[in-house]
Amino acid sequence: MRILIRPVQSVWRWSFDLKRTNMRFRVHRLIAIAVILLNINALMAAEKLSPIDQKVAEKISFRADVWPIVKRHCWGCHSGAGPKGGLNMDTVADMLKGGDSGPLFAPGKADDSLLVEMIIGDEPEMPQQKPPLSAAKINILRGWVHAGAKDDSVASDKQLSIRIPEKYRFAPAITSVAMSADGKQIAAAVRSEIVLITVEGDAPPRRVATTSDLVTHVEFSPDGKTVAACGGAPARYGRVQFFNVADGKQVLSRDVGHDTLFRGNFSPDGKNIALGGADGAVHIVPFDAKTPLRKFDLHSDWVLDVAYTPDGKMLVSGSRDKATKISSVETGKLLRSVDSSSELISSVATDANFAISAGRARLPISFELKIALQGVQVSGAGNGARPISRRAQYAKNMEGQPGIVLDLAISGDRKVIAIAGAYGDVRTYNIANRQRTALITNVPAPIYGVAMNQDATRLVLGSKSGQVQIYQLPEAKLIKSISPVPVQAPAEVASQ
Amino acid sequence: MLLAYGYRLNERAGVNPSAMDADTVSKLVQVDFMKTLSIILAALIVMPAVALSDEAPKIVGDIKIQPTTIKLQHRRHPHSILVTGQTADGQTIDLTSQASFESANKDVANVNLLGWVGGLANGSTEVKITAAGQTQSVKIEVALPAKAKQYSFRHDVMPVLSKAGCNMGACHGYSLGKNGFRLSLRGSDPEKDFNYLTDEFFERRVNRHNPPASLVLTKPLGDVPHKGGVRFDHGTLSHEYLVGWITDGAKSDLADSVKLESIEIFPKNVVLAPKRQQQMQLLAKYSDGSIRDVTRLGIFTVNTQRVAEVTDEGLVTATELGESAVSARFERIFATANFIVLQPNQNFQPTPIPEKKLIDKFVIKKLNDLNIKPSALSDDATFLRRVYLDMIGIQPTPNEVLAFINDKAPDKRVKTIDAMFKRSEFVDQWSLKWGDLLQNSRTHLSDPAVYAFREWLRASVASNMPLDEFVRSILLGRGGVADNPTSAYFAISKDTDDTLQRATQVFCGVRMLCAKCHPHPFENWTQGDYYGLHSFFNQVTTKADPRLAGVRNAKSVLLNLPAAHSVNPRTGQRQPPRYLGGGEPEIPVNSDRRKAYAEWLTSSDNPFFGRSMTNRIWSYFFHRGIIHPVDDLRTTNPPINPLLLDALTKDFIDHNFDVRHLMRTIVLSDTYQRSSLANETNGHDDMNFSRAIPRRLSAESLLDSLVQATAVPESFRGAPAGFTAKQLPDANIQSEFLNLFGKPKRMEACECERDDGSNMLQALHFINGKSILSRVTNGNGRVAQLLRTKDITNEKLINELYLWSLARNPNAKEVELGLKFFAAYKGKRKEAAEDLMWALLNSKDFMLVH
Repeated sequence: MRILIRPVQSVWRWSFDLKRTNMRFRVHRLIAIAVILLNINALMAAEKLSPIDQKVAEKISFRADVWPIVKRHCWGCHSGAGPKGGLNMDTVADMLKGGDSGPLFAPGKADDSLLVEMIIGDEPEMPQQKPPLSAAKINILRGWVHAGAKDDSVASDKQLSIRIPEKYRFAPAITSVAMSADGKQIAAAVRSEIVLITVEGDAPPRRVATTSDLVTHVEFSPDGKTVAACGGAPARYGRVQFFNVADGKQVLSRDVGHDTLFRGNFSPDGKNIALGGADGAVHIVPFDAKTPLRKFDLHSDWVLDVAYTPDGKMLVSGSRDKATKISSVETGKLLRSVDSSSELISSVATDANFAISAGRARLPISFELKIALQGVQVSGAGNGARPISRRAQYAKNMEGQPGIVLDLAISGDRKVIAIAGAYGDVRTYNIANRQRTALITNVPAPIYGVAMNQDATRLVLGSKSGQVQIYQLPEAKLIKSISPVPVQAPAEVASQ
Repeated sequence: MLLAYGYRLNERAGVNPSAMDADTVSKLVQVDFMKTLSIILAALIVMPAVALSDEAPKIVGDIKIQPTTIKLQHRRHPHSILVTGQTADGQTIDLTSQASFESANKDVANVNLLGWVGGLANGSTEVKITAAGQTQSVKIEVALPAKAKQYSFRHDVMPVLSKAGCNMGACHGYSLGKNGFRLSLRGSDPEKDFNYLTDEFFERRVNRHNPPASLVLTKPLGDVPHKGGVRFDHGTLSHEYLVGWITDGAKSDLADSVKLESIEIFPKNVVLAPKRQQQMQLLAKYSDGSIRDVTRLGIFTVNTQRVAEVTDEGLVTATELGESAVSARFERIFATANFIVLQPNQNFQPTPIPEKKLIDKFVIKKLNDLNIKPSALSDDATFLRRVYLDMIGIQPTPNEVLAFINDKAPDKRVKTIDAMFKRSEFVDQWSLKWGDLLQNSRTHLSDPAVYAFREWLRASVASNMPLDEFVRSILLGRGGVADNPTSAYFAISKDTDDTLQRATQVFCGVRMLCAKCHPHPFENWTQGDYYGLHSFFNQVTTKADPRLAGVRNAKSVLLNLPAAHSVNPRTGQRQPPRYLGGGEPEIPVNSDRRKAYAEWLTSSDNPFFGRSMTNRIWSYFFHRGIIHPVDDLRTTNPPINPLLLDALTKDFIDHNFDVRHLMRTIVLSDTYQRSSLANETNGHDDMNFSRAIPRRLSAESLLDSLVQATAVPESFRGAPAGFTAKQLPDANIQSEFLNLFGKPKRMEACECERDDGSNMLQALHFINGKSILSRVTNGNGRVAQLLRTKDITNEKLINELYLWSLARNPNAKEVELGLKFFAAYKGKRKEAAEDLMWALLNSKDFMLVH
């Protein structure tokens, strides 16, 4: 029988590492030192662990035996972006790498491992605030490490299979739409694929498969040659794929973070796309394979939309944390938090003079940038100076909407804004004077996405019902209404 | 065979589920229905209901089958059969796991090893059940719809969200949600939940085109990191229902008119030996008349966790001797079953049941079920002291004790009780109780109003006003103190919320506060119920009483008759007045809506009023109510002896809510008069009234009894001279003693505000404080008075001190001890007498009602 004496190990391990500031280990160390000084080893808490049966240990499979324990008891916190204690337990390699407190174990040395130390005892440290692991589970983990911590996992186990039906059983929601500057080309995001639609003529829609489970944002590059499909898989990965509009071929795919990306905006020079992330950051994803990603930590919750100012120098972001923020592209730093809504912000838009945000509170608000940023240094050190204006001086309410606002779209010339959401109409406004310019009624609500051409003469909307509709503005005349992907008739579904 | 199925399940669905496509899933759950049914059952019911004890108990009489007929109307809704038997000493034996089941027509219905029946084709058949050497059968009728039903959001998904714990208060049911995902607390708002699941963030949470990829599956399955951990495993019923619903298109059936009406749990009364097990069955009844076995979707809890454990699947294991309710929740409805855990005892001789005695009959019946013999009746002195303290809040004087002991009349206990009602202390005692419950206090009211209300309460007690009339007078008060003393009741409330919560808690014994903001967690009270009550009282307003200008807290209660109904914040709609438990009366506009409430409340068929009042009054004579706590009546807190409470309530109502009649019935019962000494069978019982359980005297009774014993009065600053502790108008009179012993401040309508606990400070106060010490040494006190009695012997002195202090004669041993004590003081007789009295007043005999 082995007897594991925790504090002695702790002192051995931690006394050589002065960088550690973690309270837990400090306490351990103090106890350990006290114990050694007083020489009362016999009295201190020692864990009696049963011997490991070599034969049994060798039969333990990571995939079948260990992983179910890890995913049930550890993975909720030790995963993804910003895992607790810096420890990610996604894979065996991650565990070997360990977190702030060092590797979780060395293969073969189960009872000298941090892993075992954390889960044994009368009141084990892990799982935090949950019942301790059963002896059987502890022994599985010990046995597996003891037998060498072999990794028999199969990559496909955790991979998500993206499935794009040839013919959909249910009309899929249109999650995002984009329109080229000339108004002739439309891109619509349909769950895991995007569809390119030519407005004039009878050319059938071109379906382009993505490797995202959910495409949340689709946008043409400023030159109209590329279309970006942004999204990812919830709680798995974020992904941006760039496709050639001409042939639908993927040009580049870049992954960001551990959850889907939300909405965003191509930079005016077309060199990158800024997107909101589930980690509260704005991500700048370059349209080339080499330039590193940039990440601006601005919000405390999902960033649902980001927009560039026309000069490309500033970003406006809106988040589930209810804030609308303006930041500097050069430094990635916050310039000013211009508003805090009573509800989440689902979409933002900009022109040269104004930033506009809207969301669940149903009231779009326009912020005059010049006044909002008075006293703020936009370049160089960023937010070195303090803003001097009050909110009342720069924030102007627009017309209240009849329902939750889900998307804002701005015309290429940045003169007109379209507002759509979970209600039966789409409204457009002159940005400068906030006056309504058009009203499209009887749209198939809710509308998840809306977009316009260069001079706001054409508008496209994408509905949860699966319809894409194109209107002529300001007459609000329906030009075309299509379902971009084939859907089984209800009778066909019923017969299955 | 079952194991093999379990293994196949793992093989097919367990390891790599995310790769499983929708077709496989639908095959798994639909095409291969009966096979998968057995698989799922095998996986679900991990531990069949087998007894852990070794020897097989002998069954007497017929085995019991629940239910006797089964109608199957849904391909995916199998029904369980429970088989139970009874032993000679009344234990329940779960025979389900050892029974064999056979379907007479396997084309119509199939039955698995565990007694679950699934319908395959329309028709009738029966399932033959063999257990304990007996054979019985269950009629099976199968009437399946022509077309397979789609998975239902309302009836399949919502229960899963509850079962898996997703919508718990600590998880996504929290008012702000968790990690951005919000559900209504315990599934109170399916409409919102549907939107949260299917609509928010571009359908992020369900993927109808690739169901296994749906976040609402991958999170609770643990296939992606989930802070809430793994909530259910691959292949479980929860998994099946969610996948099925998404595969069917994640549709809403909220408009469907079929609603859950009630649930029922089986078996309802179970007597188990420790370590034995019982599988529960939970049946849901719907508005279309169909019955669905929802055992696998119910949420089971044991009220007293010491007594038993219950698994997710409703398998109860008895652990320790005792009693507990097992509660089950399905959607928003609760049901309970009563469990008694006791050692088998074949030799127990049941106590003969006194059929003619209302209380004793039901108490003894229950005790016989529990193999408990009640304690003997208490002796005269103990009885007298107990009844004095309970009825009039003070110990009997020596003369009263001696007269009672020496009275040879057989009906002397009856006579004594009738005399109690005529005592002025009776009025003190019970007007104090009502003053507490109705919160009569200068914290809320003016000085004149407190005294006027107090006088009104005293007069009602003195005249024995029937309780229904009493409550109606209170609930209809208006104007100022000069117009109507009972207007004080409304003047006490901060607002309408306060009024409705106070009224419901005191007069119905129901706590409604939770339902103000969300559905009640332990009962099916919704915000509709809450604001329905609100609308009865929202016409009441108060303003300063102009006739008492400048008097602090002087209020006048006004009625704003045109006031609109209150708004339910959940729906944003006005909620018409709704009685507790249903029924929305037509009340003419511009009339006092309180009247309808008061009449409903005090009608003889009101399910709350008579019952809660009977229970509350009972609790003043025992250590607990029949339902406990007394002001928390709900399905999930069932009475310890339902038949007793029903009978006593009926008797109370039949006697026109005559409180004195109820008190007399209680006090004259053997149950009330039992000794506190345990016998060999009832030592562990502290719930079934098999013996008296000692209680500490209330603060006021303690002080008044102390004053009487020592003949040294207490003076209360701020109260008229000569007021006893029970007569004080409220708790705003400073008294260290009363505070220390838990006199309530009258800030809450809860019986729990009175603290009848014991603590170290109380003990120190009695030992060292001046309350006792200065009283026993007082020159005009009892000891001094006795010592001035001519020719008093030590023996007589000791006797008197016992009588005054403990309301009984000392026994021979105590006299002997007392004499030795006096001898030890060597002539310091005064000191010896003072010390003896100090010791007696510090004894448990004085501190407790025993």
